[in-house]
Amino acid sequence: MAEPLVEITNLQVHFPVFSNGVVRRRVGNVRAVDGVSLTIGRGETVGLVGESGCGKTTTGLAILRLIEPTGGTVRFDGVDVGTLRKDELRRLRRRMAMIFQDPYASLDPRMSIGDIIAEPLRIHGLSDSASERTRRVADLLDMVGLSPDYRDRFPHEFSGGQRQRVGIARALATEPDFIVCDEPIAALDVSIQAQVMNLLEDLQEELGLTYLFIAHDLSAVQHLSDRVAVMYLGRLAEVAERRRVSEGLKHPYAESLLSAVPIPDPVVERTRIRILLEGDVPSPLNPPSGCRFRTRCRYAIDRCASEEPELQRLGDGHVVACHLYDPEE
Amino acid sequence: MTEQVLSVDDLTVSFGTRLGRARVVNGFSYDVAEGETVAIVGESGSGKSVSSLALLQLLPVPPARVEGKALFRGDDLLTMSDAEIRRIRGNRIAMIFQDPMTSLNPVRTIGYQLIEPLAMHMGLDDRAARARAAELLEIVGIPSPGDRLDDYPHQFSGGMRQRVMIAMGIACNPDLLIADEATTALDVTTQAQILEEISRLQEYMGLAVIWITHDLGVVAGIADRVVVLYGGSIMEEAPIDDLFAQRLHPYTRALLASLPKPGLDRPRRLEAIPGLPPNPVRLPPGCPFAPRCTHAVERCFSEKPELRNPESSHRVACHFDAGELYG
Amino acid sequence: MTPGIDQGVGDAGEPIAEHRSRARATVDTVLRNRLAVAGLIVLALLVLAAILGPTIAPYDINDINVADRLTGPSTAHWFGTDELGRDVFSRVLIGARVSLLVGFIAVGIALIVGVPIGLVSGFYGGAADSWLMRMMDILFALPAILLAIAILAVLGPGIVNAMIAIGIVYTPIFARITRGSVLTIKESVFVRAARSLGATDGRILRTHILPNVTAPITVQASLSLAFAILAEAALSFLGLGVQPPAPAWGRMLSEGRGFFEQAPWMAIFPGVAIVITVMAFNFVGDGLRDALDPQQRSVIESRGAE
Repeated sequence: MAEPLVEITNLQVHFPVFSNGVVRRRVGNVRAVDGVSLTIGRGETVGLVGESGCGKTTTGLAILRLIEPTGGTVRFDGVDVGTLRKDELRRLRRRMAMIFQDPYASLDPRMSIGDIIAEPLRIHGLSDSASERTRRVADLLDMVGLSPDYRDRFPHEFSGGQRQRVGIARALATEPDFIVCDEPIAALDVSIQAQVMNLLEDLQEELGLTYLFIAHDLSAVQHLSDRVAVMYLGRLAEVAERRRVSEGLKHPYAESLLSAVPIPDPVVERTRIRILLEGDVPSPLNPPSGCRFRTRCRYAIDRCASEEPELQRLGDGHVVACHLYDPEE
Repeated sequence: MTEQVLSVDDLTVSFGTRLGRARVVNGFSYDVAEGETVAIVGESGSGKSVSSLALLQLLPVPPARVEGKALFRGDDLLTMSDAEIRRIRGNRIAMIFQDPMTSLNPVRTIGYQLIEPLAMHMGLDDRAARARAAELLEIVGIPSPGDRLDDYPHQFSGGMRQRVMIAMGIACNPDLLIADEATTALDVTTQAQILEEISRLQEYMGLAVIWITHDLGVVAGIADRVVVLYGGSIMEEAPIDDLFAQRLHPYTRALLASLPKPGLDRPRRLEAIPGLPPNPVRLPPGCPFAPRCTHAVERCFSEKPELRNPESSHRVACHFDAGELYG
Repeated sequence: MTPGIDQGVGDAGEPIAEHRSRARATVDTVLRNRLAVAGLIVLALLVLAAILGPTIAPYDINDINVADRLTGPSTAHWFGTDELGRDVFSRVLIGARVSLLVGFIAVGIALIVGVPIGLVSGFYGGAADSWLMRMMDILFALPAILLAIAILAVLGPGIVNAMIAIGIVYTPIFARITRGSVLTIKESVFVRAARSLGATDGRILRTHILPNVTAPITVQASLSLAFAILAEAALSFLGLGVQPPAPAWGRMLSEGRGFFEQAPWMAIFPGVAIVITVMAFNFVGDGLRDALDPQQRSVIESRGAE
């Protein structure tokens, strides 16, 4: 694997929950991210996949320290992000950026798209003059396929896909090394999704970017990622290389997730065997003891209730958090 | 020949807006047979949701203008009186929507909301309605149904709420269920559960379903026939296997080609369709897909294509046939 | 270096909606509301009256003419004369100045003090928020006119003090509304995006939050103007506002009370002036609210092809 750019060790993000009385006491924690360790290599795309409430978006925000982690460390290019002072953190933000899910909410409706893209340049004083700034904005618009003539237009004049391109241009303004893409295509029309995916790929190649691609759409994640990490209820269930995903994932949850993804081929759909899960995801306020997935897992054994599984190495960077794959068994 | 539950003929819906007349649905014609699942596939601006709302007279008229015919077992839904259409809604034809949180009344218990259609359409008294409501919850797979009747929507998860919506939908044993992006907002594992549920109910009840979605994977799993929409018009209509195998219309072909396909060897870059979906206020005169079609010629921009082979089970709206297009 | 276009990502296309700034869109929407337009016309006339008053008034406001006292409306005196023979029309005209001046300056004070309080409270929260909002609550709890009277009792009557008093009375509502808006906008995705870029709190407040709270504040301002003018009328009715001989609608009402049987026009005309002015501001305020409330925006306009 290439040299590590982002190293996440035992990341924890807990949100306190307060009672509704006259005196508000803390009655528990929502354990949104509960011990995630992951390494992202330079130039790599790691896909982070999972369903609602699994903590994938929170993980992305915590890596950029847009939410304060309550435990664990995040190292960016060797630097511990959690220990940085405000001004140091601000400087570091030039090297990492985020693309958000909702193209209708992620752009300030009061600003022209030119100003939106120029904002990071202004914040970090990256252009010497207004004309240079204008030129840089024009280049960025061009890079994402939008005509620089539209720099004075407002977000509401554009479609979802176009707005998302503006968001991408904004993220690229400071020439970052690392971009967290939080569900960048989920809100777009199907015929536009492919355009934006291609754009992200092209940019990665051209600019040497590193991506953390967060999504619930397994097909898109598989397509763009070098490695895929599956999360369930705040913890990693499995991490595997892309090829491995097609061959079949090992963790019982990952396995059922894969089998639930609809395939646009009626013959396959008719003949495939679907593994349907019972019930709903437990609450992150009170996750099951031991392995969190055991309440819905058809392979659960006694040990699953008493002991939380560690990530077992299966070779080739493939890890699974399941007792079934523990050599001790 | 199986009876047609629904027969839509030249349905047209337009809206008056500040910027002009938005032509959202332009002459849809399709049939739904007893017990059949018809998938209506389209993106924004395709008219998929609006056309279904029009069937049950759920669009505000004005600003909407609805023309055409929609025969439900021989009676035209579009010309029914208020009283008549109210007897159909929730009773003979049920509709479920994308977001159960906004379709369900947050300040009423689930039981109350289930009992409402039962009492109204089937004339059941309180006790009978309550018993039937619990039965329905059980049918859709909600555990401890009797207790859950007194719970409020926010006490259910997203998947459970959608099941409650389904229960409300099938409460009066309808002939037709219209599901408008019913699983789009759900997790993929929950979606799989719900799709399974509806399949089961269909078999059990002989229910016909119109499934509206943008997800071709979902379509592949549940549809008997598919209607592909673009820019307010039908592009292609075919039995499911034929559609995916032959994909006669350039839009169908391009759309399927642009999807990421999991698999070991596949090209890194996707075949994206260039351009944007059309704006219903500024719809071009010819084929709506022409601006983005790689096979388009001048005729495509000026003349709107009719459906080829209107009598067969596989219809395509294109000036050219497959041989001419794909060699 | 244009991977977008070179490698066939393709042109993203043109904008899908017409190029109109939000200000223009708002103005267009308001102008379609007939009541609001009527209100705007009335206000325009009032402002003209206020500016040109002394020039166009047929008589001087202190033109005492005892011979003609208490005469009804006529061609010489359109609104009649009062107990000292002064022309009521001229006095109502000049009175417009006072009302508008006090109204605008009072609301101006409320804005200048209230909005920053709301911004700080909403954005930073914590102890500052608690203390500031408690203070605002205390002011809010007292009925407006009573509070104004109390303040004037301390400061003494007069036009400037009336402006200050009314300004203080309306400060809490601007603080509240600003704070509410800030709380919502603070959680927006675009604010989070700004943080991800490294924006400082100050920048976020100035560039992102403030421009996005102007909508509710504008609506509130126009509605508060209506109330401020009413409040001024009440204060001068009680003799606490503008002092004689300067005319004020409220005081004219008060003076007209004593002569209501003989010369009802002394009270009617200033009264009608008050009502029309307040209604005009209300209509404009409602029109603005309808235009600026995002729910009202047509789906097709704001989201393009849907």
